[in-house]
Amino acid sequence: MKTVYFVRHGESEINVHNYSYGDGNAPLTEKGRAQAILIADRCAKLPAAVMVVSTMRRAQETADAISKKLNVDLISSDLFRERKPPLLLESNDRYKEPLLTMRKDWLLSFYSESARIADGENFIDIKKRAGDALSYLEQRPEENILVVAHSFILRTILAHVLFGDAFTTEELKKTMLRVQFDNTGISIIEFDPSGTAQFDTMPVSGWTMRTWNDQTHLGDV
Amino acid sequence: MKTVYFVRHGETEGNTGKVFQGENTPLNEKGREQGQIIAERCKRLPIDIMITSSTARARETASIISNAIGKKAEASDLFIERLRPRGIEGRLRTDTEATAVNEAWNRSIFENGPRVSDGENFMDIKDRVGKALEFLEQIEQENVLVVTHGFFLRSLLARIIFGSKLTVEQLTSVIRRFRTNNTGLTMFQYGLSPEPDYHPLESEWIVRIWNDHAHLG
Repeated sequence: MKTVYFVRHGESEINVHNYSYGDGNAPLTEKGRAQAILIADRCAKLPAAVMVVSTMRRAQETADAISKKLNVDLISSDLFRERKPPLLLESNDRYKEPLLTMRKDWLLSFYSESARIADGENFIDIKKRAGDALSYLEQRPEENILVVAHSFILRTILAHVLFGDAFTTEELKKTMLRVQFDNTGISIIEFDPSGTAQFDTMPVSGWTMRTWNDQTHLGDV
Repeated sequence: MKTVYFVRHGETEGNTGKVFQGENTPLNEKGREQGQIIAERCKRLPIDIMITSSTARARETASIISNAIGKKAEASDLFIERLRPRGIEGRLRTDTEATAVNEAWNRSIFENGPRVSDGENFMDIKDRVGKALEFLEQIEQENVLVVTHGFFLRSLLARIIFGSKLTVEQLTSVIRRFRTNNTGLTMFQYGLSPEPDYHPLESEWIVRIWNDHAHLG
């Protein structure tokens, strides 16, 4: 039995401006830093034995705040980075054509079986990475793992928990449209290799979703 | 925008698994304690109106919350648990005849198999979740609390994510892969504007929180 706590990073400059998802250097905002302190207090009570953190700055800054309250090894991993845009979309021309169109095409490439926009990740890539991320977590020796990552990759992991690698572009799109993940929300998945988890008379083995986007620590709910 | 908080009822003897649970199983002692804890949490929520499934375990949970927040709950059959064939309610899970009926009933849901006596099948459940969402959409108040059940809540979740064309496979995946805790808190919202990156929504329900059970410690 294994439990993984996923934390989405605190609010960052790109969440405010809602532009370049791939910008690995965007820092947390002041609000994001305050959220990180609240989630750190909460994480201090979790039984996590290791922290796996996306290599992007907003995740690293969130993890640094958590590290002050939770004394475990911190492992940085590219598996949990946000979806990667074409390199061109990181340039200063990104607010103008033709890059605005490229950005739109890239965003839509996650809901198409075959579209690929330059060197950006697409549906096939993100689906594979979500599967690799789950295998990585399954193989780690710790029973309780804390992961600090991002909204799109974590919702792709959610689709993977639901359907394995059989989910369609339409199912991924619906997951993105319908399921929100707020800054510093906590989602919990569990791995049961034996199928002792049961629903009625149906044994359920593998990954299951226990909790999505718990934000009790933010005080509104 | 409308915010709907869902609370799953507290623990019952039926949840501990010895008999096929029907509509009249009461909360056990632990379930009543869980009810008090979620009731304390509900005091901090801005609830305008409260609705409960009409089953005994949901009504009992709702009445504990009602006492804490000073609002009466209206009972509705729209939010009851999936209807099991009445003939096996209360029978032991070790009873082979009752177990065979229960398995056939499960196939009527997860494999879209033939209806089993008066038990609800896939189409019935899909139809009822659609009606339940329409009912919630038409409520005038902005903040609604609904006390309901684990299977039905997951069916609502599946319908919100996958829409009116929900398939048997999608429902089955959500039922198998999503877990619930007794008195877990779930929040769905209606009428938000869509995220700018994506297409306009067909309807505007979103899943905000699933089974937050931080109040249980």
